[in-house]
Amino acid sequence: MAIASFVLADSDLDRLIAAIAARDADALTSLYHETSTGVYAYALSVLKSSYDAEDVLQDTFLRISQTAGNYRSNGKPMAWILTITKHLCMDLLRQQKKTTALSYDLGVPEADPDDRLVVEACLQILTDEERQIVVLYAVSGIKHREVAEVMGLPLSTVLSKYRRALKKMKTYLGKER
Amino acid sequence: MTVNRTAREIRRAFENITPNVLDRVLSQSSLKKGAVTPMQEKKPFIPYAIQKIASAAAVVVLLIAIGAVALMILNGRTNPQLSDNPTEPPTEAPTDSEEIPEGPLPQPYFTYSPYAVNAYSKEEMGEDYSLYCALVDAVLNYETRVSGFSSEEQFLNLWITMRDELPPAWKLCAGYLDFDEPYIYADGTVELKFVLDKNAHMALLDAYAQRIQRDISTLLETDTEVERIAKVYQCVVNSMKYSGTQQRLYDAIMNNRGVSSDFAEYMMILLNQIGVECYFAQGYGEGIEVHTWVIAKMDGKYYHFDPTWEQDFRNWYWFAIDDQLRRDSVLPEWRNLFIMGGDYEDVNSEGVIVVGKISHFTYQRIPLPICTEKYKEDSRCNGIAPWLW
Repeated sequence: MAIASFVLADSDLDRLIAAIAARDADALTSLYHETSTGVYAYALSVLKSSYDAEDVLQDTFLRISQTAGNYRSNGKPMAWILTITKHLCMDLLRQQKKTTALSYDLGVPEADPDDRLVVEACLQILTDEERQIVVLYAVSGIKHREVAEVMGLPLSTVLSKYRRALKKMKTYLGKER
Repeated sequence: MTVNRTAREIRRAFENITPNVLDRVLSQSSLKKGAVTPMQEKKPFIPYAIQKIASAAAVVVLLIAIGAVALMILNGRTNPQLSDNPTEPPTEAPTDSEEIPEGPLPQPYFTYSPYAVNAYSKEEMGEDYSLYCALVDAVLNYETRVSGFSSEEQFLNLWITMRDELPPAWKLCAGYLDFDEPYIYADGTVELKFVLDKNAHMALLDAYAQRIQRDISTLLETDTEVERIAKVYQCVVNSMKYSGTQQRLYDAIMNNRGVSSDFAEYMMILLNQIGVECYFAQGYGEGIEVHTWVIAKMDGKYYHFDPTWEQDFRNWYWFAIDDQLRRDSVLPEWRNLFIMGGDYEDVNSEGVIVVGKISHFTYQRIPLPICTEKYKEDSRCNGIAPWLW
């Protein structure tokens, strides 16, 4: 059962990327609306800083606008986009000479308290791996197999960690409310 | 609240906190509003290369030709991609793969086995192989309960292996995450949840078994290992058509349409049936694109086999090539297509090939020997199954 419900199918995303390669700004806008949440959530789950994640969000779409011509469809457009995001996150972490932030830094003071609770729970109670797995599947909407590819983990690890992480979140959110 | 509801809640929360940086992106990119949008799906790999080559100036073609001659002289071998006119598509249409030579059919030497697995998987499974066979039996006999598992991880590893080795199983069973109730109970029992009634279930398994049996039926006892691998390779290239949409492996094989990983996995399934050591190889090109092919051991050495790219060439170019030939490919954007890794260091470390099993992604680095032989020029290849192309 797919959790995330994207309006566009992978083949539509493929077409948007092809249109971006033909320098179409409208296609970039459409792709942004379809995928920006997944990109931002993944960047935030890796970097644990809303400011850094916002930078990576912007850089990811700029990179897409520059490299769309290199994209060849393999049925996994979102995994391609998230791999770009991952590399940009790694670059940033390398520049900052840290592997992971010790504490999270969630800006967005205007956010709804309920949404904030959920995102903070993700950042606080899940391990780095669990959080990235949950975000990649539940928010970015890629398949578990693609999550395994993006993260370089065995699929069985991804599946069991995903299930465990969601149970952890469910228990925590049940107590906090 | 169910697990899936929790996931939806997480998604909604992230949606609501995502900042909008679209204006900044658009102002910094050089894209134009209302540019012509190509409506047709881009055909991968070769047409793109041909377009690129066709658009190059005549002088470039001349330089390539000179380079080809120089290469022939230096290396003492011909490169068909360089010596042929690269702008022309192959002139000979492929022959129908169903066509069988006249005369009585030879008795099949290999018989389809649902228990056949990749040698690498089998080594990884170790003693768990007997449990894997119990899972296969359950699927084959429409039995929902299998016992003897010591952990969820153990079951998942075998379950995922089954996806690659017996593709109909994943078509016939509901997924591990589709239910809130456990797939595995505390007493080590697994409960499979079949999606079809027994008759439809059996019919689907039977159709798959017949398909694989048909594919390996052309392999003879008298065939050499090279000939057997070549026949498997031909079978995959002739059966499959490239489709940009990813689907279940079972559907890809049965509908003869798939992406490069389907080509590679299908070839591996057939090689596993005949006991050839093979690996799933995946790598990124310069555009961080993923492509998949097969590495198999032939006559004691490891070679690359790329049935996806062969589809467009059909001249054995991608059959049993070594590291160097792959790097010297005529498609410059794919020259470094060797690397699979989770980080930039891996992507940039040229010459390292990381292979393994698709489902586990516990990649194993194997050093490929630099081979001077090229099997497509080998007379043993030219002589086999000429009716196929």
